Amino acid sequence: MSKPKVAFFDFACCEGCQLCAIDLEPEQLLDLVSVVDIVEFREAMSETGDQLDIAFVEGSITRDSDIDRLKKIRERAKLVVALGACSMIAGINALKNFQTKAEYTQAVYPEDPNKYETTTAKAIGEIIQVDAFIPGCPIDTGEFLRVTKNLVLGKTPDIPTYPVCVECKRNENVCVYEKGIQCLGPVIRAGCNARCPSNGGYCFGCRGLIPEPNINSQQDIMQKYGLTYEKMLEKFKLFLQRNQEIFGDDQ
Amino acid sequence: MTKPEILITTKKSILKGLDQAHSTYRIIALTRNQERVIYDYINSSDEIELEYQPTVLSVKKFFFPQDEIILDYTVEGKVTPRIEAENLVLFGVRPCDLNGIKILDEAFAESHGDPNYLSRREKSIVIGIDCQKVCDKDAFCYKVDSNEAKGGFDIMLYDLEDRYVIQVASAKGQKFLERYFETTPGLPSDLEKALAKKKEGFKGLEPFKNLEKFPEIFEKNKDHPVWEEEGSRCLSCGSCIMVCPTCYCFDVADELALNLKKGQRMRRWDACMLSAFAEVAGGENFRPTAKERLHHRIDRKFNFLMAKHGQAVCVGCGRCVRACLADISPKVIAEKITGK
Amino acid sequence: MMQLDLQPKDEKLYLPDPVRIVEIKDFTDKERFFKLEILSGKSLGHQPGQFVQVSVLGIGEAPISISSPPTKDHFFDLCVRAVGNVTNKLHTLKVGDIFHIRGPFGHGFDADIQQRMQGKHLLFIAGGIGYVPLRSLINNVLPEHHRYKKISILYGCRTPKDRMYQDELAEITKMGGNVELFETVDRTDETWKGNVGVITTLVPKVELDPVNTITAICGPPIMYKFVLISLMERNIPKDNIYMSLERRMKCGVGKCGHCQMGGVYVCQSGPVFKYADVEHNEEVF
Repeated sequence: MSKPKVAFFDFACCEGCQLCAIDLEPEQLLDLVSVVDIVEFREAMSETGDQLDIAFVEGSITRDSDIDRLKKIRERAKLVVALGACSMIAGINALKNFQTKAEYTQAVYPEDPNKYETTTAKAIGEIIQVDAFIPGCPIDTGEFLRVTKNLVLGKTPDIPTYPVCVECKRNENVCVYEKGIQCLGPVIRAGCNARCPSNGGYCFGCRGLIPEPNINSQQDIMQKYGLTYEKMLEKFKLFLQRNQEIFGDDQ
Repeated sequence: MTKPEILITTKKSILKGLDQAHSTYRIIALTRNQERVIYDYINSSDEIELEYQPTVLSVKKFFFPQDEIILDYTVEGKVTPRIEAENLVLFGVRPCDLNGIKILDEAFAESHGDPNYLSRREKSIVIGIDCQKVCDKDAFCYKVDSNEAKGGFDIMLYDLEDRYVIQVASAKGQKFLERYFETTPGLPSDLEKALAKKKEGFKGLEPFKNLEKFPEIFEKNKDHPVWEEEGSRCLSCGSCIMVCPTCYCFDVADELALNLKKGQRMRRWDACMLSAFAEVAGGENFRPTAKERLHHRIDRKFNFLMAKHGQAVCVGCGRCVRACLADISPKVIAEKITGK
Repeated sequence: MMQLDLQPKDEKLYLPDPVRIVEIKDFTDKERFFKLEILSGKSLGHQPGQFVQVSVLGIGEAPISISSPPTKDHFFDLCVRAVGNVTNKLHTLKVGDIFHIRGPFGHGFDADIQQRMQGKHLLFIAGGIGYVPLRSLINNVLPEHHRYKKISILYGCRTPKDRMYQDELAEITKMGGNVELFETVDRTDETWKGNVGVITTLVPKVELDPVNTITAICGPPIMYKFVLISLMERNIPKDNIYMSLERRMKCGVGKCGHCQMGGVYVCQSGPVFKYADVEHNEEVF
């Protein structure tokens, strides 16, 4: 059996998720290339492949001209995997969607606001069909390897549908709310081993919402713990702009 | 049967004994870890916190860990069960958690003996310390008749200022006691004194009036408005279950090494409060709402499993109450259904 | 208080045993028949209606009903619908390949139930893949059909293409005498000349004496409610109705909690339940 052909592509992003994907011990890298054939990798290689088994796509779609390129990747690949928050939920790129185009282009390029083509930031799943995703900002290397293995084995990737609280409790953390910090953990997808709350932070929501979040209850809790409605929305803004339940239809 | 003899030991002797046992056993006790107090492995009795403070997780994690490998295999088909157990002493376990151990002992042995859990239990010595007061505002052990240990311990200690009155409950406890603790004969009045102090500490804190009838009452209250009231706030975050000393549901997952040549089957804590818990491969979810899941969880504590184990399967430790951001409490639910 | 049945530890509780595929047949696009040989040479020793935890190393475990009747040899059959990771992987395996099983588990159509059935009219109602668990009982009673008053089998599928065990169904039709088979499909095609409609439309076709009829049902969750209504209309006592239910299972041995339905573990008390015993269990339907 020939090894599945795998390629990496990026759109609007920092390319950090691709770096995480190959942030491997030497033996891990050897094992990885023993099961997949990496044919295109912006960060590591320059070769171009044709038909692909798996296309990992990093970054969000922020230009109309990206749409064609994304659709071509879809045509070439049996499976498209959204790699990281930008690709999966438009990530922090979507912060600009809270402003008008005039506002953000003026803010970033005051000299020449029309210098670059740019528009509403979108997740790739808003444009093409996505078969799997690896959440996070950045992604977790272990999870990337697990998902890759699962796809090679023909198995649905085992991405948790439960929230960060599960992992926080398993790690026996004191709830950050007890320390007076408001956290999005109860409605955000686990799989990061509660990295932020376990290390003195709180959950920013980079892995996106769980499938059935109780947003009303989450909002009640944040307000009960001292946030005004506006401050609470600020917390959701960083990663969850594309969520209609919180922010309504496209701004 | 002769009355168990009453023995007395000093706290100093207990701590010294634990240090001596350290060469044969790994010792677990309440200890400070950064900002929190948890049950953890200790190297010296100096690290022990004798004064109880509520922990996030119970001692369940030492017998039924968050994750464990249950099988190792190669792709060629060589499969080996992995059953890891070491000599453990759990020191200073409180009645709520001891009742939790008793319930888990029964659950993991019922019908089919779970080799991983039972092996760890066989190799462990559990030393309980009785509580003389309720530990905080969220604990409600006394409401569910769980402020006294009904089992789950090998040795029980009753606090008598700088001494403990000792009660031994098992042959392995007796052996351990003889080997590591210096004791002197005590008088029945010593135990009475300790118990009187407990009585004083729990004065006015009574169990639910109709606790014994809970399974019946909960069975009759399947349509009580409390399920919707409480369930609508539930985040389905699973925190209550992670911290519960008597929850034992698990998930099983296979993981191959990156080279796909060998692998492991693992089990990890799962939770009936999580949305996907009762979903089958075809997509049907047999408990799709938080309300149904909360109802099921509480029924496990006060209805079905209570009928089976003959005691409330909620031990009133208060951990889920502390963990629930939406302020959902088994105590409040029980009060609403059965009265205070 | 109930008496707890406490058991010593079983070191092999989670250890699966190897089986080899000796025959594969495709029933439909999604359903595939496997004849399996237990490599240890031991007989599976199951009751009709029990299940095994099928184990594909590296993928996972899934509960699958045993579709063959009890035998003394070391062969048995499974019919597997490809719906999840384990079952999809099973469909990629070939004759000669090895996978693993644990079990048999659960409570099937035990000796007492089979004893109750003697001399009675047996009414089997199967929807779709629900035929599979019932087949382990059907094929157990058909060779001895004279010991029963009558055997009626009602089988409903979505389309004619979804009919499984078509050869066996043809054989059953040929048997005649006190054995009858009624089939229906939800949606017809040009090949189909039989009944069209949901399975409950078959129930009135059966001539029966309610108190002397024992029914066994298996099908998709939605089916039970409607079939039970139609059986109640025929005055069949709730005591005479057995249902085989599907739930998620991880351990098969009453620990993991996934299959719990109200107070009962389906993997222990079921998957076969008497309707009278569970009619007040609100998590059944």
